[in-house]
Amino acid sequence: MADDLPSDFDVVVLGTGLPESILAAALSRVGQKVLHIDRNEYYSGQWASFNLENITKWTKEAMGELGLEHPTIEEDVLLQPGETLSRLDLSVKGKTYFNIASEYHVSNEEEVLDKTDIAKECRSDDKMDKLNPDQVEENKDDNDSESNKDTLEASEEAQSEETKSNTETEAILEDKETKPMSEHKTDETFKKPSSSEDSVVKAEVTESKKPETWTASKLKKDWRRFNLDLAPRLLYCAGSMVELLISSDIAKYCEFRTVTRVLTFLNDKLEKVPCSRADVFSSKDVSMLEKRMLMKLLTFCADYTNHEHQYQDFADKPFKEFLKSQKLTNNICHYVQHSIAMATDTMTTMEGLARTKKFLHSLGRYGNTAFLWPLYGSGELPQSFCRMCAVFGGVYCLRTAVSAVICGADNKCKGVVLTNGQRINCRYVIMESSYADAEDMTYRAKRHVNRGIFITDRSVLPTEDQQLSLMFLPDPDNGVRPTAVLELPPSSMTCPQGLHAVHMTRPGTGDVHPREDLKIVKEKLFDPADDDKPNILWSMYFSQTYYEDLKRGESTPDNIIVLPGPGPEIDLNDVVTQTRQIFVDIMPGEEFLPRPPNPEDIIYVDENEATVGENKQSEFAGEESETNKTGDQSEGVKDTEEVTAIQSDESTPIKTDSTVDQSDESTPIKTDSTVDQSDESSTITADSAVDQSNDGENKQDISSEAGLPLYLVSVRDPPTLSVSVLTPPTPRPPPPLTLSAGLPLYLVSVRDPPTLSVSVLTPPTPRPPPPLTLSVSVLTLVVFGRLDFLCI
Amino acid sequence: MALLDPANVTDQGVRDVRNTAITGATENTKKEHLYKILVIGELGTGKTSIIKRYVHQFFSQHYRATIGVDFALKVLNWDAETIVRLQLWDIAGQERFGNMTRVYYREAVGCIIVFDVTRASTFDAVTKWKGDLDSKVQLADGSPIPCVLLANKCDQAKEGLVNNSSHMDEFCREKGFGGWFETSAKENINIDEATRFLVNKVGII
Repeated sequence: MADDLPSDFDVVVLGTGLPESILAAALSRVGQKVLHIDRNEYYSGQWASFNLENITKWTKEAMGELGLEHPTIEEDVLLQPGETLSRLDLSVKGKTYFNIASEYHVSNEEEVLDKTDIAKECRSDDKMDKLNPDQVEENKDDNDSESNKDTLEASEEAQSEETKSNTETEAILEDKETKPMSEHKTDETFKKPSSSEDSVVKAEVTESKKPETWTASKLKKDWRRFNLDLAPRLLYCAGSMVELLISSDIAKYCEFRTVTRVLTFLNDKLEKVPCSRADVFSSKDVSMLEKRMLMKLLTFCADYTNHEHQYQDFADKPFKEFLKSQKLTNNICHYVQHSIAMATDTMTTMEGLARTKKFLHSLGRYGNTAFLWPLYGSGELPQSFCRMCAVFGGVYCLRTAVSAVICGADNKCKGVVLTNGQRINCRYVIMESSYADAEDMTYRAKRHVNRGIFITDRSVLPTEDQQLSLMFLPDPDNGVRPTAVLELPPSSMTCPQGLHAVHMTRPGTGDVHPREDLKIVKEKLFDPADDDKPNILWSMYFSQTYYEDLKRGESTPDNIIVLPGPGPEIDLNDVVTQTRQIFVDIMPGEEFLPRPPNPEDIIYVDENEATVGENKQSEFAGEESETNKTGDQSEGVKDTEEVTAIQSDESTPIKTDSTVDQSDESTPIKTDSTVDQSDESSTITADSAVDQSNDGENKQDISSEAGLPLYLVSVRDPPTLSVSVLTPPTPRPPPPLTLSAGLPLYLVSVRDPPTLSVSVLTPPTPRPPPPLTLSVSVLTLVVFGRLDFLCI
Repeated sequence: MALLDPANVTDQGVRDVRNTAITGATENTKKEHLYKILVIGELGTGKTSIIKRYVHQFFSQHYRATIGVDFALKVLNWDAETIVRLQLWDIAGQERFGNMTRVYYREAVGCIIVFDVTRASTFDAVTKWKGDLDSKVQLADGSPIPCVLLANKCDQAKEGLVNNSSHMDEFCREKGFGGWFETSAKENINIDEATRFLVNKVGII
């Protein structure tokens, strides 16, 4: 299939993880010819999300060989004089993942006493809904019988396949750990509670408590509805990833849900942490005195750089000590250190304050939360960048790797040989660490992170609404290896109705198996003996290697760039910073992921067929910006904007029809309109339009190559939204991220000077507005200005 | 009117836009539908030409990769009460080695698979494309999205199965195509018809 792959590229990128994909998109976007390959048959590499069936497949693949082999390379044919070939190791065995184990903790349905009941339940989602009144709404569109039938069919297939290969236990362990493997094999059926280290949830327990009984086969039936992440990550609402997604317009490919609460264990009780002003005031767990303390502290933290005297004595001492010095109660210290700053015991005050500030500044932008979760899993993000790369000409080949790197006499990389034997010439090679040879990397430390994924039957702290919860649990031993816990409800698109997907991430140490390492937290949250706690239906553990301060090896050609895989961080700011720096290094002077033209604004022109569009040409070609018609927005078709035509050399005829117009109401991938509206809410001049399209012109070689000699950039009318009343003097464009329906959408920007009318700011209990049932596209982010706890 | 509901997801985020795309009646109570339609098929089968012909009414012999564009938009005044906005998603020219991102497939409600009647190998690949499509995107109820097969370049000499129309009908039934059309972007044959056929399959208008 890849026979017609061109042999000359500017950049070859190995691995479709997030950093690689961001760079691939950025390079492609500025006109570099990018070949982007991945050894796997799926996108996102170490950042991938899988459904239940594919993650099972992955556990097998990650430990074994991929089956990619070195081609026979005839060096005298492929190489130029002076060039040398250095082979890369194609094996993935043990390189990145180890200690992988997954298993079901529920029985198959055969063992359940009342077979008929279960059978009925499986066959009728309707019934499930009745049993779970709070989910009825979510499910209402799913209820047609056809759906049931189809899901059933699909999953039966999956199931039979499963049962063929093995029974309910899957345990893939490193070679050296063959013993535990055989141990697992022994309790193949879960007829009796297993004596092995993992508690097996008895079906009876579930039955007595919940009207719904989960079985392994039922989970498998819904295999498609899972999106389980290898490296789950959140986005700070005001973080650099959100900014990048907006500025590059890649946000149009993504959807997000807010993290609705931060939880913590306080005196062995699970509690919601009051993070924002509204939370603080509505919290019942905090006394009046503490409220005042907390507010005062948070207000300081959000602006700590201007109050140096308050912390300078502690700058290099642990944040924990600084908090102690502030005459706070233990509860408040706990909240701030563990849940807001998410700081370890040894973290310095400077770092702690910076983290607290980052958290606080992210509050209020998309509601009463500091984080966003990418719908369908964070494995979607790399793919969004890949799509952008492809749209600008990047070539994608999965299930392909680089067999060898070709180096010239000047110790520069000249190209690569793919596993299909083809030589590709290129100026840069960018590779994820697991593609690189050991000598191509230097690093400060090789570490690993222990991860656990659990499917549970209810939330750790159930409420009426679905909650997306984040927990940061301190290290019980020495305070340096906290465990981050992310509980994802069905609305996060990572698991079926009635279930939760829970991710645990903890920096690893020594050779402690993740199962042991996460045991304390697991037992705190889930306890089969405790009816009030969720039951684990399925679990998976693995350890994943990562490198700190990864750089290329000393003798490695300087046009090879090595990128690290995901570490234990829970957000993505570091990835953006890092990739931006690399981009600036290799493409000085180029813009990092500039906004592409809106597809709806681009007019195709056929330079050779003047006939077709001729008559229409005059309408646009000479016209500068006069078609300024303030049409009724809802009449999408007729609403024309200021249009500026930028004509490139070869194009003459323009054919246009009503396709140019955009109407925000109807585009599901909405972005531009929102930005434009708030963008310099003053006036959008024709100049700005020209700027924007000059962008296109700078890349003239691409565009003309691409058959897009003409860019028509349309600019929205000055914002007509009621926003203007409330817009602060220097409004930041509200991020046009598509927030999903069902989301309380409170707004917005945090950066503006804290001047705003009181009415907006003092909802004592910020009751979310009724869940937005409208299509996402209808949501328009309105700038209210500053809406966070700081404003009083 | 069914609105966008997160529960409407089957696969990796496939949503039944068929029911949800209605974005509200305007003052004139005109209904507006937005459909994301995928256009897939082997390299050089004329996907881009078909889109350009359909959306922009021109054809060019000169093949050019599609760069910088996610989709082309065609607005149809379906009837007096209805506007249909079709987003035709090209496979970004280069994403051509059979590996499409989920981002590309997500929320699609219809698909056009194109092959070149002059090259039998492009017809052989149709099954592969259909399989990839069905495995990666489904309607909320789990059924495959409506799909139409285009035998493009029909103004030229044909090669293979496409010469036998009853066999083609059989093939379509077997593989789950709603129908097939002989098209020519060059001569503007059947493009409007095929698209209209697909929109009919897609929409409850």
